[in-house]
Amino acid sequence: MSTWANLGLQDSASPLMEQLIFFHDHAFMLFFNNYVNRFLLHGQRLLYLLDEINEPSVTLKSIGHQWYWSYEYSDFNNIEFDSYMIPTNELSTDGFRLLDVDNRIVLPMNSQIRILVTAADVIHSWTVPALGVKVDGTPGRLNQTNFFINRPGLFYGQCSEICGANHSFMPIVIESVPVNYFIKWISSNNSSLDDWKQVLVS
Amino acid sequence: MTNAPATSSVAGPVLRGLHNATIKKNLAISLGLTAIITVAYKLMINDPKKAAYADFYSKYDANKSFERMKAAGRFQSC
Repeated sequence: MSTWANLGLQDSASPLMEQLIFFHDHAFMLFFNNYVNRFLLHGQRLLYLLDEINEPSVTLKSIGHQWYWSYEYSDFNNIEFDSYMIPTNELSTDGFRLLDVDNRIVLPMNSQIRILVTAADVIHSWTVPALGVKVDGTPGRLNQTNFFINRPGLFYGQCSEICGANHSFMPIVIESVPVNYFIKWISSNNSSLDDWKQVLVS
Repeated sequence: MTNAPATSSVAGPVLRGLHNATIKKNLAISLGLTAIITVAYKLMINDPKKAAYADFYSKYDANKSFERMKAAGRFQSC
């Protein structure tokens, strides 16, 4: 996650982001070099790798609202929940200001994940820098991308498209856990956390 | 007059081809500096970073890391 000590890109948690970091260093080195053209193939290889078709095991839907994200896991049990930023005055002493949320996205590590991003009102953008993901959520449109998390932990991001007064206050937190824990979490959440949906499910 | 300092001769101004000569000298310096900085950047930043990533992942135990974080209560889901 971002700290005040950051000078460059965050440490990666995804193989593609790792390659993006190396390419960024490579391009920066060539910035000082006059003879660049033949070395840009390295970047083109990566560009194609980013668009590779792979078989995702989990699909996550992310809907941007003013000013929170809502998530749906329609593959199993139709799990849906909203994710609001924890206000600073309610934050615990070990929490991260403007980054922590009440309900985190839980995803399995070492699995291909597909995400579909859209929005309900204005354009938002779902970003997690450590995974090299930034996808705009536009109302009336579904944008899809894939990513892969290669280690467990918490990964933070923030909305990246100006969307109103609280644009800076709708962060994203991913909890990456081993597959068996993910399955346990999914099975324990067989009802929606939205109050009105609790009524529908029962 | 008898105590006037001895004069030393100064090179005369370059009357022809000064621009070209200056450019050639500047080009040589800039190409040299570019080459040095490029190589230094590769050796001091690019290569160590790749080695650090390779080293981290060669010794990395994801499950051990997960158990440590779980024991510290970092996760909401478990």
